[in-house]
Amino acid sequence: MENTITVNDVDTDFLPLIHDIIKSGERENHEPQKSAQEISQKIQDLQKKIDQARSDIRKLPGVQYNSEQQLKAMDDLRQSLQMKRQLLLKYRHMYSFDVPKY
Amino acid sequence: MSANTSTRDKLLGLLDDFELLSRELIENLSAGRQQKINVQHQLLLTEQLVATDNEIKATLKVAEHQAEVEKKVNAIKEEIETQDQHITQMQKHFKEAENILATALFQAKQKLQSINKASKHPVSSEDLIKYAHRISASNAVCAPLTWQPGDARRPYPTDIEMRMGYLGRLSDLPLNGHIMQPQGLADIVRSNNQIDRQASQQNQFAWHSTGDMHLGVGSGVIDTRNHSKDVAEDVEVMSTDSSSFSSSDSQ
Repeated sequence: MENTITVNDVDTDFLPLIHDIIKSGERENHEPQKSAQEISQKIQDLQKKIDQARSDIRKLPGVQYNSEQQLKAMDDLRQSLQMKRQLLLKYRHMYSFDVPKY
Repeated sequence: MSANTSTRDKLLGLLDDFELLSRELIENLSAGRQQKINVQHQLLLTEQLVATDNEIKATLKVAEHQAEVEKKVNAIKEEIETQDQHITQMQKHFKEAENILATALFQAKQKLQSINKASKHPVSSEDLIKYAHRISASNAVCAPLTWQPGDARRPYPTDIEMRMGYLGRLSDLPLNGHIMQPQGLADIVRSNNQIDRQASQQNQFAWHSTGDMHLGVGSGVIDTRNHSKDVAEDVEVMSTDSSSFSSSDSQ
C-alpha cells in the first residue's frame, strides 16, 4: 500500500496562489518585464499544484465509490460475516451423532 | 447520474472546474488591463472560484471519512477471509470424518451380515477343530526354506509337536498307556526355537512303531528332528495320520 496516501497529503490550497497572481498583475504597471515573468512562473506553479492534486486524489483510498455505496457495501460485508460466523457456530455446536432410541 | 458518481470523480470534476475558473479569471484580469474591466463578471468568477474551492474542501472531508470507513471495510474483509479459512478447514474435516465413518459403517454392516450368517448356521467346535486339522494337514502352502528330502520338519505342526503343545498337554491324559512327562511352557517354546539349530545333534526323541514315545531331555533342549531314516518315516506316518490324532482328540 505504498501508493496509498491520506487526505491530509493532498494540497488543495490554490486560492493563495491565485491571490498572488492577481497581486502580481496589479504590480505590472510599475515593473512590467519582471511582473510578466513572475506571473508566468506563478501560473505554472498553480498548474503543477492542480496536476499534483489530481494525481494524489487518484491514490486516495475508499473514494472509488461514493459514501452511500460504501456504507451499503460495508453493511453487505457485515451481513456476510455474520452469516459465516453463525455457520461456524452451527457446525461447532451441532450434534455429533443421531443416537437412535430403542 | 450524480448520485452514482464516485467521490474520486466528483473531486476530479471539481478540480477541472477550479482550473477552468482560475484560468478564465486570470485571462479576464490580463485582458481587463488593456480593455474596460467587467467588474461584475470578475466578481462572479471569483465567487464561483471560492465556492468551488469550498466544495473541494468539503468533498475532501467526505473522502477522509470514506478512508476511515474503508479501513473498517478492509478489517471486515480480513475477518471474512479468516472465517472462510475456518469454514474450509471444517469442511475438510467433515469430509475426512465422512470417509472414515462410511468405511466403518461398511465394515460394521459386513460384520453384522457375518454374525447373522453365523447365527443362522451354527458350527460346532468339534467340527471346527476337525476342519482346522484337515487344512493344517493338507492345505499348507509352503515348506521351510532349508527343507530337503528326508527332513522330518513339516510346514504344519506334526502330531508329536501337537502332543507337546499346550493344547495337547492340557488334559495331561495318558496316551496308549503311557503318561507324558511334564514339561514347562518355557521349555516348549525354547525347544521350538532351537529346532533348526539342533538338527545335527544326537537324537533324543524317538517315536517307535509300537506307539511308545520316549522323551529324553538332554542339555535342557528337546530335539524333535530326526535324520534317521526309519524314525523319520515313523514321524511322517504318525503326523499325517489323521486317525491317530482324531483318536487322541476323542479321549
